[in-house]
Amino acid sequence: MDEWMMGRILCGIIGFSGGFLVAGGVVALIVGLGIVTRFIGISHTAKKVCLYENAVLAGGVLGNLVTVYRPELGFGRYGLIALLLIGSFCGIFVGGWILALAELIHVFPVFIRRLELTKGLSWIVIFLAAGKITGSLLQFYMKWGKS
Amino acid sequence: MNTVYLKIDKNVKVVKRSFCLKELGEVKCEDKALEAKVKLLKIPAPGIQGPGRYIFSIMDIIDAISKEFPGTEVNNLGEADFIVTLERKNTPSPLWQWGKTGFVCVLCFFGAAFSIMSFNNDIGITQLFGQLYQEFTGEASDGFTVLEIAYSVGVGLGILIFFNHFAKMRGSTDPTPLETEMRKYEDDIDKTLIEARDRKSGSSH
Repeated sequence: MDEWMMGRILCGIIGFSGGFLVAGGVVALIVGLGIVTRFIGISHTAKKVCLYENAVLAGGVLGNLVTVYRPELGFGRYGLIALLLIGSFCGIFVGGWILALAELIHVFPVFIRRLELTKGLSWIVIFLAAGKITGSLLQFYMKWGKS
Repeated sequence: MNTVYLKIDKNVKVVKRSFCLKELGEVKCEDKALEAKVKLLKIPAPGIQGPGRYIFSIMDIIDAISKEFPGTEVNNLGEADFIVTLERKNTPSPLWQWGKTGFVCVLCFFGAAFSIMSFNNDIGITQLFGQLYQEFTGEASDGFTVLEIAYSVGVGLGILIFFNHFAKMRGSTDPTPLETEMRKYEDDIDKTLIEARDRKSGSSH
């Protein structure tokens, strides 16, 4: 076996092992955060859990292909529709995700008890959502993000 | 031999400095006359001075019952230790209540705006979205396209869905994550108060 072949086989093993572990990490993150369980709980579709597992699998594989191989899909105008859908669904998922991730939810009970809040608690959630939308739009529009 | 069954909740609210057993929880006894008498038993509470939280042990209650009604057996079905909260009488004005809620709303608004921006920067979303836009349309992204707008609106929607904010309109009975979190937090506080008392008196830990 020559050196060229050895290098390829080693790269293959490293790539496979890396992918194997990262996939576990990604699934653990998604499941561990409890967003998927919440979405399933809200929609009362616990019977279809197997289908959701397949959806996570397909999404993971597709997202990986799009970022690793960077295919020139070149859909032109129709690409905009795809992007509209992708943006909306990604946003909804991230909206649930950042709350679970930041453990922001643990802050509310403290606020509510310390300040003895009793009125209009549902407004807090609405303002939170409004803040996220404003912050995100502002950042993109003003090009504050690092590229 | 008469058995008195007691069930006292972990956290009881009372309105006056002196209270009877009936106000703390459920009392049951086969002998109805005794049950009525036990229910009206005054609980000795020398520690209670003003509004606040006070920790009681079920042993104090058993002591009080056996002192007043010798020969009765007490069967406790509730908590071993519980918290009695003496509430403040005056309730603050609605204006003050709403003012506090408004303050937290403003905090949450700016905090949320800040945290989404730092999150987006952290994951390098500008670069990722530019790349996706290029792949899908074949044109270069100017950084503020349909993708970014849809994502931004979606983030807000996701929060509302996560909190099940529309559940009230449909009359869903499941508690929201906020409500479960609130309950968890209050249980933790009760547990900590009770265990802190135990540590101070040196009876355990």
